[in-house]
Amino acid sequence: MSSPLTLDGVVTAYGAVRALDGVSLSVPVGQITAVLGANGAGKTTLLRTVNGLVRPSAGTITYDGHNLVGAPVDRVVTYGIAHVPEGRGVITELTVEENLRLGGLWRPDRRMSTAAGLDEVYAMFPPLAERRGKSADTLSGGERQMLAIGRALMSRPTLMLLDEPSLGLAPRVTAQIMATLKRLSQQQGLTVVLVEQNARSALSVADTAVVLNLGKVVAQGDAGELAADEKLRHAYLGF
Amino acid sequence: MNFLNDVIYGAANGFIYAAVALALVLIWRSTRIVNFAQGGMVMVTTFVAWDLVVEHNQSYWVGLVVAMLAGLVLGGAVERILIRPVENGPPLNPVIVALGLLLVLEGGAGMIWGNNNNTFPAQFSLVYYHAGHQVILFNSDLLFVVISVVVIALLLYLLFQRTPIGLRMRAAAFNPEVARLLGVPVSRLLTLGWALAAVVGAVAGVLIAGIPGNYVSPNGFDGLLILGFTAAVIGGLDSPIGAVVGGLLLGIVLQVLDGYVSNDIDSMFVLLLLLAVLMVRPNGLFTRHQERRV
Repeated sequence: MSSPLTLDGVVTAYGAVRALDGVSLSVPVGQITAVLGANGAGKTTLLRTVNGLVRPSAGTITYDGHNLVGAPVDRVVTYGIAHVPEGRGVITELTVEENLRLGGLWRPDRRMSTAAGLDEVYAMFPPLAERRGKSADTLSGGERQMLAIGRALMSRPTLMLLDEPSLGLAPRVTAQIMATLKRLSQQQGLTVVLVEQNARSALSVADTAVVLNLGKVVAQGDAGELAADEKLRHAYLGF
Repeated sequence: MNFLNDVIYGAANGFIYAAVALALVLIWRSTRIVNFAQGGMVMVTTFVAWDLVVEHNQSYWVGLVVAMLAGLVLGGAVERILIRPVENGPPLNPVIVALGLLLVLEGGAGMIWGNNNNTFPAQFSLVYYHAGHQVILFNSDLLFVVISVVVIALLLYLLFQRTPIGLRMRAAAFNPEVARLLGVPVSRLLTLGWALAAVVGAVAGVLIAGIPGNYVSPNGFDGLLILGFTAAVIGGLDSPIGAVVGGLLLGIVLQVLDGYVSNDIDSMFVLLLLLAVLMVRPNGLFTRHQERRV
């Protein structure tokens, strides 16, 4: 079993603005951790710092024995961390299947794993199977989200980072996506970090949750308990 | 000259313009930069071939292969050393750097090889075919040109569409950040893109130098860049197939104009055509207009 994703005293600044101001947290293995907070709380910066797109000015980030601070972005996926970027991040100029293949392309065993991976993803998301040869810009918002998640799964990750997967999706589609994540975590032991503005739907599937406000962790714990804490909900989560 | 000969000659020339256009398209696709130094890079690699073949009596094929290798190194080095530092700046910076490089390459070539018009030996000889009462001049060099460029275009197509490295290159070009998150070493692929483009350019240079009436000289390839650029723009700058078709069209039309009007109007016609395409169909004839959703 891999060791958990651990952040210790991470500071990430854009110029004078500290988007993350000494964040320390540990993501339990095999569970879904929701990262919640308002706009500008530092949620997206947290993910971008973990995968190396932005460099923290202080602190350490480790996962599975790897030091993530300063690791090249294109290496991070090889440590078992898959990222589902905000705004889907589907490459619209490529076909559905090309997007999926791309997800598993770094794997040394890709000759073996790609075909199996494609079958699994198509079985999980039948709409993608129907459009495998079509360009990804013909997909609907929900289908793009499926594609982005499917593509992340192609790398056979142990940890999946999702940035606002519910953004712009119909509630029914959001519920489907959340159910898929829950199933992946329960059946395959996948660790999921779910960054969400939509706190209600995120807490409905998450095991634990972290609440960020202005770059600091203000609450951390069992998802059910946080959802029950009325003061916290009103102050930071808006429901 | 009869019409058929014009078309054959024009098509052969067109395939060379297509090769230059392909080189431009390769770089445009991967870095969104128009490489205005392409003509200079082609000139240098062609001089390398000329030096070997004419000055050192090596075979045509040795010259061609060494020119391609020189292109590989030159293209990669230019991207790493000159383009990399300005890549993320304003779009004008790489253009200025490329123009500066062009001047340096032309000046440097003049210092090393001199500012003369050098002839490059043709690899094959003329063949005549009789079709009824018509004599069709057929130069095997032209056939060689056509085959070479078709093979290059085909190889590039296969590379981009059928291989993992091609898929990575396309991903890196379309969405570098997402590509990196998926484990694609984007910066290495950009270097590869420039290197490949210079190899294609090197082939185009050796091919065009071998056609009678063309010379190898430090400024001798300026016109070729304009022709290749026009061909690429006709094709939409983004489409390898468009580049080939654009080159062919341009080659045939220019040759027919030469034959029936005058070859004095070539340059003016090319620039007018470029202007017309940019005004009427700025996306080219072959680019499907694609909106990116944000």
